Amino acid sequence: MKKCTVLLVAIFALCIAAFAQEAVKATIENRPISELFDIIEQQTRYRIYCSPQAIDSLYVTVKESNIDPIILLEKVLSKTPLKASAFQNAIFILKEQLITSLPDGYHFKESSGEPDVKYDYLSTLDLTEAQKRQLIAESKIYEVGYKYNKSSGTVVLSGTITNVKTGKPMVGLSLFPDNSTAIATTDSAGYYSVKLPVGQQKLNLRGHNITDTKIQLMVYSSGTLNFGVEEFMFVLDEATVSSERLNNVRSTTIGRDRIKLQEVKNIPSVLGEVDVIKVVMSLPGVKSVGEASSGFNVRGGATDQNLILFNDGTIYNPTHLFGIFSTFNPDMVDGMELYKSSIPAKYGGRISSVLDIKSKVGNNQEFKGSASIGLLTSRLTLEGPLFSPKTSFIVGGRATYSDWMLKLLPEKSGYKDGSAGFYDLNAVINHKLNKKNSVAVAGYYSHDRFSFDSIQRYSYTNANAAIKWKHSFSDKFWGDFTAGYDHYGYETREREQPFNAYTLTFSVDQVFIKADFTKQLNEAHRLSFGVNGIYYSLNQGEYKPYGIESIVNPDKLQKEKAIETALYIDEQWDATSALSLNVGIRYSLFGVLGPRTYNTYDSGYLPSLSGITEVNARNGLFKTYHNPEFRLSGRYAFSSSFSVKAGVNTMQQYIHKISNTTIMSPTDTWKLSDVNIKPQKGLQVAAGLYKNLMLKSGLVELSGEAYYKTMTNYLDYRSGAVLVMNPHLETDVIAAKGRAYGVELMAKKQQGKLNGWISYTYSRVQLQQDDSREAEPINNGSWYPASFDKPHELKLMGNYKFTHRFSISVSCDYSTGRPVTLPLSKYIYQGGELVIYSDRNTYRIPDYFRIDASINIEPSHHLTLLTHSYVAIGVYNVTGRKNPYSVYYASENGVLKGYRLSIFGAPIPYISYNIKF
Amino acid sequence: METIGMYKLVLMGILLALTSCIDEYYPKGLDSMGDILVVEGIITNDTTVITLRRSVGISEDISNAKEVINASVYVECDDGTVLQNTTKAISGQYEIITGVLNPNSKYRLNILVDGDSYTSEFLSPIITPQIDSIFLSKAGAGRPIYTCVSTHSTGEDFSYYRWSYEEDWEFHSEIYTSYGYSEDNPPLIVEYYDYYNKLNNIYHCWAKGKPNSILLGSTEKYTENKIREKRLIESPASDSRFSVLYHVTVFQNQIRREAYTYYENLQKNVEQTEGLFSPMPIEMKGNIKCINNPDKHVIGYIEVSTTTCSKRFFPKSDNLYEPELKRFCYTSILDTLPPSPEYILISYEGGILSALRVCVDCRYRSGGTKNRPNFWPDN
Repeated sequence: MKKCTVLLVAIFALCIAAFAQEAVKATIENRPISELFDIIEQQTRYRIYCSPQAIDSLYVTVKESNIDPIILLEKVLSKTPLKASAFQNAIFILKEQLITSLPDGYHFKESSGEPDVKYDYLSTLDLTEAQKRQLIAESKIYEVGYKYNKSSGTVVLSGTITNVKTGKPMVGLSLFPDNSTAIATTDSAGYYSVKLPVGQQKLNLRGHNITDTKIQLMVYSSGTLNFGVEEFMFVLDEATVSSERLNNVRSTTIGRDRIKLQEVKNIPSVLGEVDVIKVVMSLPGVKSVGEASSGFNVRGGATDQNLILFNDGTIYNPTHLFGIFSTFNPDMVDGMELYKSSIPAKYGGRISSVLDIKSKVGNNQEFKGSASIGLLTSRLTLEGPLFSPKTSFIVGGRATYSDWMLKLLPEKSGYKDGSAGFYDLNAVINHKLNKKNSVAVAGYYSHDRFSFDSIQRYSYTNANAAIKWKHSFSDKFWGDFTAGYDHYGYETREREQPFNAYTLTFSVDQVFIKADFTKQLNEAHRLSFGVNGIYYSLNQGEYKPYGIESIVNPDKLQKEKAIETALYIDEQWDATSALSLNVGIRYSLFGVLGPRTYNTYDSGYLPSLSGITEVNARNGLFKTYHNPEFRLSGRYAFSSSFSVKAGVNTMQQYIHKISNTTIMSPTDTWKLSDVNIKPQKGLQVAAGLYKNLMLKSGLVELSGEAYYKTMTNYLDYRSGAVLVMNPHLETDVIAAKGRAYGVELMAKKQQGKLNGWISYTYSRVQLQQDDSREAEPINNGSWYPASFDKPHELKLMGNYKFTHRFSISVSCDYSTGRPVTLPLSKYIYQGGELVIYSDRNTYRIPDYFRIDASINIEPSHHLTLLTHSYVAIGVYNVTGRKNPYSVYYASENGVLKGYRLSIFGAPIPYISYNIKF
Repeated sequence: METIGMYKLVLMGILLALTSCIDEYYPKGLDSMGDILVVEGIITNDTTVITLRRSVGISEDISNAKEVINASVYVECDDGTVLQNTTKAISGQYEIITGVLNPNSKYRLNILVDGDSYTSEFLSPIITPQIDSIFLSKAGAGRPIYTCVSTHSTGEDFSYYRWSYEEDWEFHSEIYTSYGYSEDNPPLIVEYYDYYNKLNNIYHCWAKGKPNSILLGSTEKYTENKIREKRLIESPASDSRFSVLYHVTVFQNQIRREAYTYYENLQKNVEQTEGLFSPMPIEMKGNIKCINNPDKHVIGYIEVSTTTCSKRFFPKSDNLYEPELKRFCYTSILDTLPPSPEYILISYEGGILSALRVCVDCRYRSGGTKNRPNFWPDN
């Protein structure tokens, strides 16, 4: 194997400012040069960018007046290796020639037998102006391959992109050549592989927090190009209020949104907290029943039909504090991907969507931290190398002090004795064994507790632990091996009177393993395949007396155990440069495990206690469901900026949330499919049009997607259903079917001073109880709207950057009111007023409309500062509109009244202060 | 489930604290639905009382609710016996003398009204166990006083109960006076009241209480087939009920699980509707149907069950009753006679002494009347 020479070149601009010269007056004596920079910045329009290490020992004496700042700097720096270069209103202080080497392990992939390749360090430094990419393009052509052994046709360029500052892989960057529809995205190791025609090429590099860059290439044959890029340092520079769908036109996936959390820090939020789930809910096609609900509905799916993964672990309850927050600490989250339509074959188990959340990778170069203080929560995150740069860690914690909220309640409310609180802890360790192997260990724990009086106490816990080993078999073949454990459980304790005090517990435990492989067969074929397995163990409910005086009868439902396994294979085939197909198949198998007793019912009737024909006791594997799931999608690109896509997906779901409330609540339980409860099935057909428009002020992406979806064996509840501690739940539920359809239109602009998106969605979701064995189906067996059916929805997210330090953000949300069931008639019975309800979901609450605004200020972002702070001041619900969460009638002392409940029925100002060190 | 209901209630408290955002609101554009027959009552031993009403539209005045007085109501036994209502219905109530229910027979209710014929399901009578005791309980100073009932069944299956009650209590005005306004000429004329003639003063009063919701209980969750302490009534510790003498009569019926579920759902539909996590309301069908028009909506579940009853007096107890200091109940000396019906003369001696009417005339306190129950003791 031949080691390649490494040449790192810093590219910087030597460009003369195109506007009128400015003059500076400076008098300082033997002071750090940074003070001179400050003077220049104060007196001119220039901003000075430099590396703090380069100037930290530089002291200068200057006595000048009316001098051009560039000339002054050139003068001052003439005896140093530094050079000042101006570009428009920026001055860069750089070393003239940076010839150095990157830390071991970051340069390149193994490339035995490959001809000479140049490795270049493309530094965009602090240049944020769009023009910079031309500078790069004009200043250097990178040669790829062996000049004297030219290939012809198309070759493959691969490599790894890292962050030059931290050494972390740059994940999710897109690379695409100008004159082709090929596209590559860096994976979690920063690795990319893109097809290029031989010859002179321009390769676009895009990412959420790097400058759009055009790399000029001279391609001779296949080769490797590893390089570092610099991420923006400043929060304000990252203020692209958008989900990343840069790949919209080129990728084959439909309905995918990729979000980097840093991008959304400027979105106005409730109480100043950036929230992962709230960000997801701002995307088209994602709805929720109301403001205080972290459960969300994707394209008409129920809240339990979303697979929420955090570092590969399944999160069953993503809610803190009644849904005001999600359980993910925003400082720990790097980014997430939401799959609404084309769900890759490697995911399965839920029929509506997949939300894959990844935590950050610790900085392996230096110790860093961040802290934030909000109205309700405080957070602390620390990261850094562990023993050596090969190992890094990141740990984060968040805790609340929301008890004060309850203390504000009036004495008579009865909740004065209440308390509420939560915390969550995260830890991730990454270790790079060698060039081919790396290991990551992630742990997560969150706990919520609340009580409103001395009678009832609630608590619940999510816990996850996972280990992941990444192995690269070769340049074109790599695999991830993951094993982990997930837990979710709750406990309710009630002590109204000593004799009826009890505790009720429920828990889900699961162990999972995954092996995922990716192989680049050739230029046109990329294969992904793997195997997943989950072992479930559910405590369906345990009811125990609490205290010695209690006469509550202890009761424990039998444990539910099952295995869910799946094999999948997924082929990405780029048939021509315009046509690309993705064909995936997943074969899932679900096996119910004993020991377990279950009832067999007379099949002519809905299961009921009077219809039991047999009681069975079984051991081992006694019931299996297995089904193929198809994931197909295709894209035809008419040009590099316009494409159409279509896809079909089928999904299976073997675990169901048992709740007759419309949103996720802390007392929801989950149930596995068994002999009497069949798996849910989902089918989605979707198609879309994608068009990118290049305007003067930046790229505008337009997209339109339409979908039609069906769901079967959706669990609905019979009249008088008992859902808690029910050993024969099948007698209280009924399988319903659902259909959903809609159109999502979106325009998005990610660059320029003004950025953001606007989206309009028309969508419907309806359910039907069509089991002929049910004598009184809901709404007489006709289709009725689901509780989250909100046909019209308009969302606007906008951010305007006045300067690097100051920006404003506005978000706006309109939707049709959700359906509710209201009483139509009332009567007196046993001295009180009672009601007769309409058919289910016949009426709607008033429409929802809200505007939020925030001002984001970064007092200073000098690199020399020890800490960087960031302040957001905003107002949630500026207009103070009382958006009803629900409209209902309730009886107080036998007298019926109508009410409207608004969760945030007034403008809520907030301020949050974040600090990075 | 009670737990969920509680959760949601308290959640509202929290949210209230955030932005106080529950207000009265009546949605417009609701379809009007009324005139649905509501059948209340249980076929029981001795006298079965069935009340028939018709529902009104949700936005109408409930006092317009029509009591059905033109119906014929029968209790039918599966041995062929048919018993009809004896008296003419007063305020929608029909009384049928049922006598002793035969445990080996089945009974049902038939109603003929406005050309429609309704019938309930044939059910055998449940023999309700006796009430073990009626008692008052209080968890500590300042906490509410609960009027409770306990009972137990010797049967092996879980038991389900429904209760009703009648309350009577005596209470007194804060301040005694011998005077009062004349009924005919309120501003001035003063009458003379005799303290010792309880029936002819404004110092001694009696009040009545009735349930305003369906009271249900079950032993489903317990190790014993026993209701230890079912709280029927919650009153503040300062309630006038407990200030002199309190009497309660509790009626108990053991019912079937189906009836329990039906009644529970009726009550839930007006109690657990408000919150974030409240279950979706459901209309359940009772066991009454319209024979000539099976699609016709009718409300009610006619259970067949014997009634047991228990009564008890509770004299004032310092352990329970915590009198509320009524700061506005003071006397003041006026130059002339009290200027308005708000005030009442107490005494002429040493000036014109008067006090607020609500402190002096017990009929102006909640529910106070001069209707002394027949069974009330003299002292």
